Amino acid sequence: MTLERDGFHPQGAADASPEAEDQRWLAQVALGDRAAFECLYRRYYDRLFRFVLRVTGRMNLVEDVINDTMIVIWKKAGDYRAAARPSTWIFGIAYRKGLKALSRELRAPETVDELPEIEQPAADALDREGLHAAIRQAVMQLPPEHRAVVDLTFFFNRSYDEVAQILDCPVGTVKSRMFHARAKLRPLLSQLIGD
Amino acid sequence: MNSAARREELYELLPWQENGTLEGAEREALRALLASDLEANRQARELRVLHSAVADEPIMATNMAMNLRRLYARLDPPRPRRPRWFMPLSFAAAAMLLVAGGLGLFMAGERAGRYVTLTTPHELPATPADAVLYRVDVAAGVDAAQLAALTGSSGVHVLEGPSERGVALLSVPAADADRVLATLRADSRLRFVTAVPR
Repeated sequence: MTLERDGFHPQGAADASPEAEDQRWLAQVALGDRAAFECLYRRYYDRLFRFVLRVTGRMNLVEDVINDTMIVIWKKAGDYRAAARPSTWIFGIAYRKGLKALSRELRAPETVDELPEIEQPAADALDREGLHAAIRQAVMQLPPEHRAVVDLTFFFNRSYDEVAQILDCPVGTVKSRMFHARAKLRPLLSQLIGD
Repeated sequence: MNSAARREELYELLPWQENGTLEGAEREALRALLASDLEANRQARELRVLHSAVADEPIMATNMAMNLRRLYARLDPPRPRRPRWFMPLSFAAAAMLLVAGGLGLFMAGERAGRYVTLTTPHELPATPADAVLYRVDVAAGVDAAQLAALTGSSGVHVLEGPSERGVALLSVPAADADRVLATLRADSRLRFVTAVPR
C-alpha cells in the first residue's frame, strides 16, 4: 500500500493533476454526486487516517473524525474556493474535527507546560529503525497543535503558508509551534546526531 | 534588523528548507547561511533526522471499506420506525372510513329506493273477482289490441298500457291463466311477464 503524500504538481499540467481532479470532484460533490464523493473518500482516506492519528494520538477517534470530516465535505463542498488546494481545505476540516474530538475525549486539553518530559532512550542501543521510532514517539508527546505542524511539514511536505491555512492560524504561529516542537525534541535529536 | 535577529529568523525557516518548499529569496538566504554558519548546519542535521523519522513511519493498514459503509449509514439514516401507537390508530382510522363508506352507500340506496312500484299498483282497476292480473313488458310498437291478440284468449283485457316503456297490465280469466302465461312467455315480443298479487 502506498500513501500519497500530497506533493506538488507541475505548473501548466493543471487539468491532469490530482489537485485539478480533486477540484472537479468537489464541484460534482457540491451537486450531490455520490460517485465523486466516494472517489474523494478513497483518495484521502489513508492520508487523513495518518494525519488525524497524529493530531489526536487516539486510534479510537480516527475513523469517526475521518467520517465527520467527509460529512462536512459532503455538505459544504459548494463552499470550497479554489484559492486553496483542495487538500489544504480538506486537511483543515480534518484538523478542526480532530481537535474537537480530542477535546471532547480529554475534557481538558493539554498545554505545552503540562506535557511530561520526553524520555531520551540510549541512542547507542538503538539501530536506525529504533531511532526513528524513538523520535516518532517523542513527537507524539508534543501537544496536538505542534504535532500537526511537524507532521504537515515533514510527512506531507507542506510549506509554512499551507500549514497556516490548514491550521487556520498566522504564519508566525506556525513558526512558533515548530520552534517549540524542535526545542522539546532537541535533546533527543542532538543525542542522535552525536552533538 | 541586526544580523543576529536575522539569523534567528532564518533558523526558523530551516524546517521548510529541509522539506524543499522554500522559494525565492528565502531559499537563497538560507543557502548562503548554510554555507557559512555552523549552528545552521547543526540544526539542519537535526531536522534531516526528524524529517527522515517522520517520513519513514510505517503505514498502518486501515479498513476503509467498513468505514465507508458507516459513513453512508450516517448520510442515509434509516427511516424512523413508526411509533407503537401508529398501527392501532391506523386500523381505527381505516375502520371508521369503512363504516362511513358503508353508511354512505346505504343512504344512497335509501334515496334510490324512493320509486313507485309498477308491479303492485296501489289502486287496481275494477276486474272480475276470478280474473288473474299479469304485468307484462312488451317490445316497443306493440299496442293494446296487438297485445290482447298475442294472448290468444278472447277473455283477456288490457287494463293499462302499454306505456312508452312497453309496460301493460292484463286481466286474464282464471281458467285461462296458465295457458295465457305460457303463450306470452313463448312469444319473443314479450320481455317480461309476472302475476300481480291482488
